Amino acid sequence: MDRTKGTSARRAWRARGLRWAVPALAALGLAAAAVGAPGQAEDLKHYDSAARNFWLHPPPDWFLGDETAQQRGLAPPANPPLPASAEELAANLKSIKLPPGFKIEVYASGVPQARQMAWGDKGTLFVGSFLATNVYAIVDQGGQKVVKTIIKGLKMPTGVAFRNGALYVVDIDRILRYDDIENHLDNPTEAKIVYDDMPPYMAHGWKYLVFDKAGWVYVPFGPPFNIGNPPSSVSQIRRVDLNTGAAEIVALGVRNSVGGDIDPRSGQYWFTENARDWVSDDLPSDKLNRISRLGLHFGYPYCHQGDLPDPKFAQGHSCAEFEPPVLNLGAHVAPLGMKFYTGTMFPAEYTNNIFIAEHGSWNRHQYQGGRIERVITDPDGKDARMETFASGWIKGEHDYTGRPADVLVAKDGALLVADDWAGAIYRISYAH
Amino acid sequence: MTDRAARAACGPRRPTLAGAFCRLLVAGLTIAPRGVAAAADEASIPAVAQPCLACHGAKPLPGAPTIAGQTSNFIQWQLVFFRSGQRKNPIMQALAAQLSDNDIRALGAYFAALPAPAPAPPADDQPDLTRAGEKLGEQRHCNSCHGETYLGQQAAPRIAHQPQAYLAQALSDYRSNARPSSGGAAMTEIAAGLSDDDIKTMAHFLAVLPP
Repeated sequence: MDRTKGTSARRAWRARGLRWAVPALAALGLAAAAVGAPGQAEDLKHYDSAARNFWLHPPPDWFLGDETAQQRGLAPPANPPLPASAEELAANLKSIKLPPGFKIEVYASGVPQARQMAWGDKGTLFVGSFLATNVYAIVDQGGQKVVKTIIKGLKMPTGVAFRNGALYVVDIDRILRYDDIENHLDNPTEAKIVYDDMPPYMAHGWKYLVFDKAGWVYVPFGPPFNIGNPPSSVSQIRRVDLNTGAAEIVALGVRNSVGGDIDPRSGQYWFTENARDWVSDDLPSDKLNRISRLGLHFGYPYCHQGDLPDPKFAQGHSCAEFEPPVLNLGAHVAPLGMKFYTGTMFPAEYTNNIFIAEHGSWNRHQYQGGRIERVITDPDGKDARMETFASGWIKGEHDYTGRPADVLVAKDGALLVADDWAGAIYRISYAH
Repeated sequence: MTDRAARAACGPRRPTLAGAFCRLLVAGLTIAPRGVAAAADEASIPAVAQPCLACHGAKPLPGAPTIAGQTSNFIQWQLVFFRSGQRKNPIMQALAAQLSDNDIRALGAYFAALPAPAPAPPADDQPDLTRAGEKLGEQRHCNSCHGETYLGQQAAPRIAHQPQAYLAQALSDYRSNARPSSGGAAMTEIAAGLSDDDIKTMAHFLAVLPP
């Protein structure tokens, strides 16, 4: 395959489905990378993002290239190959700690690499996935939850949303629409591509979809590496009007965001953000942000956690130039999906609190995160504070029994949790 | 069952030498475990694991890695890949097609619990190549996933002291994208930039590492 021709490579990439990863990536990446321009510090990484190859083949060093002696040997753990069995899930949930009055149970199992969840109008729970390449529909049949794999062979369909009878799936570089989906669960209508002005690389290319009331869908665009001067089409959040194709950039300077929600009080978009790796076990902190007006810059790659200039990439900028986070969530906790609590089952003080699914660390000697956090905050982000809501999925120093990836409020007010490690959906409920 | 497996693995019965060999091999797998790991007592081997030992015993057949003492996570991933057809190998696909999730869990647990084989490593007749391989492993961050001594952890297998030909084939298959990688395609990415010489070097270095 001619990897220098963008369109053919892009087509082939799509055609190959799961086999997305990229032959000759390292070689091409090296060719496209790495000569320091005059005036730059010698160790300052420089990418030639003007070259087409850059878009197709993200630099080979984006994951481990910034490894330090201190952090040596840390690497993202691979998922278990199979979803956890009923016995394993029952044992795992015994270790989960919740506030008094709350309980957790398995809602559905056998949902490999479950990521973002969305409700259909008729009560179907749609679930995206990571490398499993599937989209699932979970339906109730006589009190039993049945998991159907309704779409297969996408690249990395992490983000799903539902609106006006249609299921929307974001698959790295395109948003797909499946019309009248709840009447076609066993035979979905052909997908329509409703937006594809998106770079095709996989690294930090997995996404999350959130509709606001007016019908804009918010979409995050992560940079294809750990830290660097990002290409101009990424490190941002856009919103897209899928009826007209109109798109606008609503936030800049964002690293990897895979979660957000509209504040029911203000209509503003809030989002979680994963900070850079390879600084230390305790720096920098991941963030919760709020877009109070269009076009704010949240600091990446110059400044992290509101007050930490990047050791290499500050490039003369000060943190005062950028929008600070509403809340620092902790280093390497990996906040992903989040939702404002709009149900009535939980005690009244939970109303409009934010639940955040923390996926947990890989770039840290002792893992942290891997839990559900509760953030109590005003609509303007003042006086935000956080407490742990559900924890106990970390096993030992660096292993998991589960990794929360998303949360969703159910019609009855229970909170569902998608776990992409155990391949399961949990239900957290409250009773006096 | 033998017949079914043979048909699935070898295709419809055709009078070719390769076909005959394939059928013979698959038939052998499901009848008589040979080359069983020295320490294992045949009676204690779970039925689901018996076909594996014909090729993956103490002295693996050409092309097969040793799997005793391999990480459970890795074994399960490979069986899942074979079962879904993402990883191609007629014999392994035919065998994996018959496995349930619980079979795969049991196989992972069984082989991970066996002691890794500990024969003397092959003599290192190319110490320069060994040093080059050690350096290459550092440069490519191989030990971030496979461990400082390449004994494996989680989904990253023990690659120390595997047969050299198997290691070279595995790297070549990752490079050509013929074999899927777990862990966010880490191996596909790493192997993509390897030259033929790099692969030879790495396979030699890992094969002669002491057990």
